[in-house]
Amino acid sequence: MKYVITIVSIIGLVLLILLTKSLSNSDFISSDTFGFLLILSFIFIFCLITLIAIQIFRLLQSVKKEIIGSRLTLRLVMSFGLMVLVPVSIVYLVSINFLTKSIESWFDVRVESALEGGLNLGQKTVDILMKDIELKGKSIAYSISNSSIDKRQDLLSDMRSKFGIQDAVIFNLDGSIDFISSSKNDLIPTLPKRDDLLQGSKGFFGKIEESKNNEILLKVFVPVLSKIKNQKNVLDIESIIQTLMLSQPIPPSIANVALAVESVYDEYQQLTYSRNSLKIIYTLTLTLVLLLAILSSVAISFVISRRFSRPLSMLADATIEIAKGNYKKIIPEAGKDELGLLVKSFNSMTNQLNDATQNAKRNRKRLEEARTFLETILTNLVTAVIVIDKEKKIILYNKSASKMLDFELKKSKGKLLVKAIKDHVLYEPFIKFIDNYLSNPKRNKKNIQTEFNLVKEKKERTINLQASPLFDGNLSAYVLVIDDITMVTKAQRQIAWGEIARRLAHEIKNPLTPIQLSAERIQHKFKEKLNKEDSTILNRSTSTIIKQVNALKLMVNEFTEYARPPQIKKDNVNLRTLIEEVVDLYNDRKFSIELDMPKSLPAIEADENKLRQVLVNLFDNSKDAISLKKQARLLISIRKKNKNIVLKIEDNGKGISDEIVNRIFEPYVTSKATGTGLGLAIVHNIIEEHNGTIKIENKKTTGVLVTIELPIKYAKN
Amino acid sequence: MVYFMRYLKKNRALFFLFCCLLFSGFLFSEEKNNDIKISNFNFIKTGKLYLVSFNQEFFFTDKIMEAIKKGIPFAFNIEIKVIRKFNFFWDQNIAKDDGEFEISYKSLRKVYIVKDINDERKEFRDITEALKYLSHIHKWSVELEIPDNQKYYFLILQIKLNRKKLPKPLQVDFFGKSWNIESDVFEYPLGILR
Repeated sequence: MKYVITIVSIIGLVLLILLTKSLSNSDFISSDTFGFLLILSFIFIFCLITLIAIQIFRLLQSVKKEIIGSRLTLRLVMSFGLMVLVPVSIVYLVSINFLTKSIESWFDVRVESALEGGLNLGQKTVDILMKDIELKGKSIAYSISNSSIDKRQDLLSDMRSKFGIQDAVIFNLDGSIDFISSSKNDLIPTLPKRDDLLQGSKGFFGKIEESKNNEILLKVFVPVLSKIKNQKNVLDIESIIQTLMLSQPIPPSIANVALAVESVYDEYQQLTYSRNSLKIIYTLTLTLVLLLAILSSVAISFVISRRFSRPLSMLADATIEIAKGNYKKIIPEAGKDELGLLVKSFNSMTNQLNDATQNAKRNRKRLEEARTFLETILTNLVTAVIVIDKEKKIILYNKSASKMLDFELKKSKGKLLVKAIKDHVLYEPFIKFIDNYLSNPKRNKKNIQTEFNLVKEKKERTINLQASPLFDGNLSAYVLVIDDITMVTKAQRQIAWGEIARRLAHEIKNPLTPIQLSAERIQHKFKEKLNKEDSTILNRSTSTIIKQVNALKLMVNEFTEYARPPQIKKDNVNLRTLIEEVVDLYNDRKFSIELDMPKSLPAIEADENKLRQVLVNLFDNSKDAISLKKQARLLISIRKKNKNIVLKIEDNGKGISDEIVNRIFEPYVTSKATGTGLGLAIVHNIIEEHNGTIKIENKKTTGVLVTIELPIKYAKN
Repeated sequence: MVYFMRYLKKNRALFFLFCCLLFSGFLFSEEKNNDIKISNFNFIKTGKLYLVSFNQEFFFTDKIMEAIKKGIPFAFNIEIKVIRKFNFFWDQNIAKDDGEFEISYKSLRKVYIVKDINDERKEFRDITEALKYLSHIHKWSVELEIPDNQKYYFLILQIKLNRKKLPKPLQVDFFGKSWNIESDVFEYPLGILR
């Protein structure tokens, strides 16, 4: 379409030039090409209007569809159109007005009167000259008619010469020349037409002729009468026998002026008739020129507007694309002008933006990865982590927090921590501590740490709480790190007990043998020397010493066992066989032992002797617990569970008191009157040495359930 | 109406052509004025030439009469041609000849100068006499090659004002119908000659 408009505009301009030229060149107007040019212009204007209408329609459609740049193009087209329309219209109106007035001024009444006056003057001059020749002609004719024939030639020449006539010719009635006299001796005068002669023979007849060399010739024809005499020689009848023709040119000075006036008058009259035609033609041509100029300009304005608006449209389009997130949008460069510079700058900006976005994306990805990593750590962290803001609202927590605090924190996110856990009476000291810490402006900017003992369902747990403020310029949040250190505490206690045991074994065991030996010697040496009564007392005392020393030895041995360093002799142990062997030791039992052990159980890697010690210890405890029971029963079962073997020992005894059951594996904790309280502690140590677990709990009905889980494949921890 | 509009929408080119024809019709339409009436047509063969005689009666408007009196020269073309007529096709031009007569006024001498079809010049004091002189076309010799079988041939005669000899501004007065002076088309069947 761009090329069509350009071609059409060029044709329009050519037509414009031709029409303008035609106004100034009358030869051009007279030709048929002017008409053709007008028709061509009309057709062309029609085509231009159609083309512009199509363009406007398309532009309006684009505006309606909100295509970027269409409004700008429309504005530019309208601006260009107005820029052309207003001045050209003013020039047109002024030109039309000027033209009309100019044409009208040509036909001024005074001019016409002057021309008519001039023409009349010329006519009168010619008439006067004609009258003069008429009189001269009549005078010559009269003189000729009264003269004799032989004197007529001389008379004609004399009179012609006397009156200053150029040519004088006397024609016979048949048209032949009778007499002739001319001032131009070398030239024969032009013969008149027969009609003129005929008319002249009837009476006076004057005629004005124009020669080819702008000469006005006055011709008069006068009849020459001949007198016919009667017998008395008296004039009787006058008859016409000849015709006199006088030719006299008007003096060139007068003739030229008269002809010039006639010519101008004729032209003026012609112009008078052409007045309306001229007005129409000039107005039409000017209108065509105006239409061609305006329409061509408007057509060109479409091309120019599009050229102007295209880079801006592309910029707007690209801006939208960028707003959508497409930072790779590059606009083709548009020349070296300001628009081109703008496009170049835009492209540069887009590139920078693209780079920045890519960097931001990378950073965000890294951040996301770091956050995911942190979340994974937090999720898999055994330690509970809760982050609260300055208003004590929960911002973040991990799975372990819910697990450790033993209630769901999911619904508490964004709520006050204190309110979230206030329904749980168990955490009252915990809440109080946090509340005090956060409310105290002196303390809440420091790290603090404390431990709580929480007892839930008779189970005691030791919780370690560490609160740390987070600073992001100012104090922004707190991190609460909660650890269940029950096991650590237990381990510490165990270590302490081990230390005590070692010292006891060292400090006590050494003097026991000399004490025992001394007591035996005293008994042996003084048994015979003392009387019976003293001897009995001595015997009883030394026996007591020896018995107590043995008891102490037993106790010290157990302590030694408890405190010994872990040492496992790994071997393949068939647990089923081992249990059966241990069970055989209790043949004299007064209770029933039920075994539930599948034959296809795999052997485990363990220290057989130590496991035997565990089984004996546990069976002894069970035996003690059910010894007084009437239908005493011991149930031993083994099952394979994943990569572990689970051993369960159940009795139907009276069970263990609640105060003891939580601390059952601690040294010196026992429900038996005679026990040292180290048996289960040693059992616990052996199982842990095998990387296994042991759990002792009261059954729901009655009795105790011991659950031991041992790995099939031993791995040194 | 809706169907018509839809039809127009589908056939835009047809609509455009129709508009062009309508527009050109308005632009170029002319009202025919039979200002010259031909009568007493006579056509005689003399050797290789034909002698044409006829009378023409002028019905000029006052404007034209005044224009002649104001000195605007009027030259008329007489066109004579032999055509072959077809019922369902355009007529075929066989032969053609033309002539011209003219009337003009000389204001200084106050005479109407007439140049007749045979190039004879005459001067008249009165316009009526001048036109009367021009109304008789007598023995205008034309050179036409007429085929032997004259049954289907016609002689066409028409007189038109030669606008190219008018003053230049009047020549381009396309919209002034006063200057479209012409006679009706006179048809003379050549079959009569047999």
